[in-house]
Amino acid sequence: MSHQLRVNPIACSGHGVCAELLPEIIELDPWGYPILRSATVPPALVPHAQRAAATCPTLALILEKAQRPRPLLAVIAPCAGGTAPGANGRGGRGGHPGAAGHDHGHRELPAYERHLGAGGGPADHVA
Amino acid sequence: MTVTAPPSRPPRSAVLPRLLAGLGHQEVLSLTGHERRYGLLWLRGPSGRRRPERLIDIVEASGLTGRGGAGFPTGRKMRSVAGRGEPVVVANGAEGEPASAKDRLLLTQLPHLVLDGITLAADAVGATEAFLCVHRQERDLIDSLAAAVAERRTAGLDPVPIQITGIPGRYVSSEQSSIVQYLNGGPAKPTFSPPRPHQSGVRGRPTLVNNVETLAHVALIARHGDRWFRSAGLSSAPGSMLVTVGGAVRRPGVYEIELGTGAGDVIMLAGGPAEDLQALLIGGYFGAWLPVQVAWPVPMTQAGLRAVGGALGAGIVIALPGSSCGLAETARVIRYLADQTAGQCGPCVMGLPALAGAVADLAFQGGRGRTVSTVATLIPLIEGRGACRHPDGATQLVRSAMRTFIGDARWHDHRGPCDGVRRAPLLPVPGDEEGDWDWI
Repeated sequence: MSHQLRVNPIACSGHGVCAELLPEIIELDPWGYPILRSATVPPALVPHAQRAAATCPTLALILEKAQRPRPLLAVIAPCAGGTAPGANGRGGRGGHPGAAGHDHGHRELPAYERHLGAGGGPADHVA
Repeated sequence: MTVTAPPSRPPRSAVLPRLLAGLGHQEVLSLTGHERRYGLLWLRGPSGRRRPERLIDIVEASGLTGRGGAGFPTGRKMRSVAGRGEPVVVANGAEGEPASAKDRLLLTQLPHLVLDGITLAADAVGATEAFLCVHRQERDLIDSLAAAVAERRTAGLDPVPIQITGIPGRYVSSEQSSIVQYLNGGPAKPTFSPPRPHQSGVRGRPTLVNNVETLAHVALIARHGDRWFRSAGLSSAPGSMLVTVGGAVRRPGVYEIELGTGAGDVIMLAGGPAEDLQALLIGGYFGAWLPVQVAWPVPMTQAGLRAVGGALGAGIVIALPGSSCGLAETARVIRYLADQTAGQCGPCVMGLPALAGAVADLAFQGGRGRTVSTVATLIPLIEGRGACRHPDGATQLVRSAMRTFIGDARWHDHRGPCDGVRRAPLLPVPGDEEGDWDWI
């Protein structure tokens, strides 16, 4: 089980807080938007990643715990929120008062992205 | 740098046309004519038993993939929503690609084939609602489709009512999450996924979004079966597809080809090159430029085109003559794509105009010897960083232009524009006055 970072580019407005809190993984592009050097967060950096995600003013930084791949049928089932104990549960370790905000920032997502994503998912663009 | 197209005989297929079988120029097939040509639509088997989900098996066995651009297996997509809650079927007829004309042709000339497909898909997945989305500025098309739907309602053909819906005309508004958000009362802009429409779409219900050509194929597969479908095309990429051929060919237009047909044969089908060609743009504005000698033998399949750095997209093939400037053509398209951003994601909002500026600089100014590297620096700053594929489509086009026209690019960069930039634009780019630029 490893932690993965994602940015919701629609929510992100380029505050850049994440790059300050997690410079090991996040750098900013010329316009101030985050670039992730790697989506996978090494265990040692997970608390920092949690803090960065919780501190993002638009909750655009998403830390998810990658789960073991499941068969496709499970993937298709509705994305049940909160089935897995989230990073939220341990969010307190970061000691950030805004940890309650994790509920919005951290979406525990099943691994369907890995099943269906990257060209495997239903048409994203049906122009 | 021009290459004369190698000689080739116009290809003939023993099993085509299918979708366009017997269709006269500008002929509009009425419901009666449609039923005479394709036979009646049966929602139950010969024994009278209702087994709607059987169609999903048949579509899956047929190997049909989405004809809107992404090429996802249609049967699998249908199965992902089937029987879950009350699914919604959305037929996407809002052809976003300015260079594509196939969906419009189907909707204007063969509306009942598309409507059959919608009804079949709705029946198979157990949907309770169905939408057919087209660009809302196309009033005549909406009216004719509404009349076709009304005629079918009188005949009792569509158990699930089909609603014709006009959506905004923006390029990214026909992306499936945009359509879903619009049908939910929001702006026709892409949304952050997941959830994807098949998980939670229109009113939170599982939503099947299919291109109208895909649904027209479903209508034929339901009548003739999966083996019939597979008798055209390759075993790895079966069936037929519509292509829109444009640029420097003698007879531009929409053609039906077997998957796996060589790109050169597609050009020959459209009357052959009208001039010496230097490159083909395959896949539309989210596709890629390929040098004509590379493109000519490439099979028209997702895999075949991907292998040479291209994309099948919605089946657009545009022939670029030697006397045109590929960089100038690309610059105009990228400017258009930059203007078409939904304005939601920073890298797209900031990056595409910067990229458009750099490509335009290279195409129309040049001469400073550093623009090629500016373009190369910008591409990775944009790619993969939007909520939808809009920025990636644009960078793929620029990448392919920098590969295909690299000689021209160096020339422009060091000495200034070539003569080709003075030629009239070849690739269609809608002007401001033609567009419907509102989101809501």
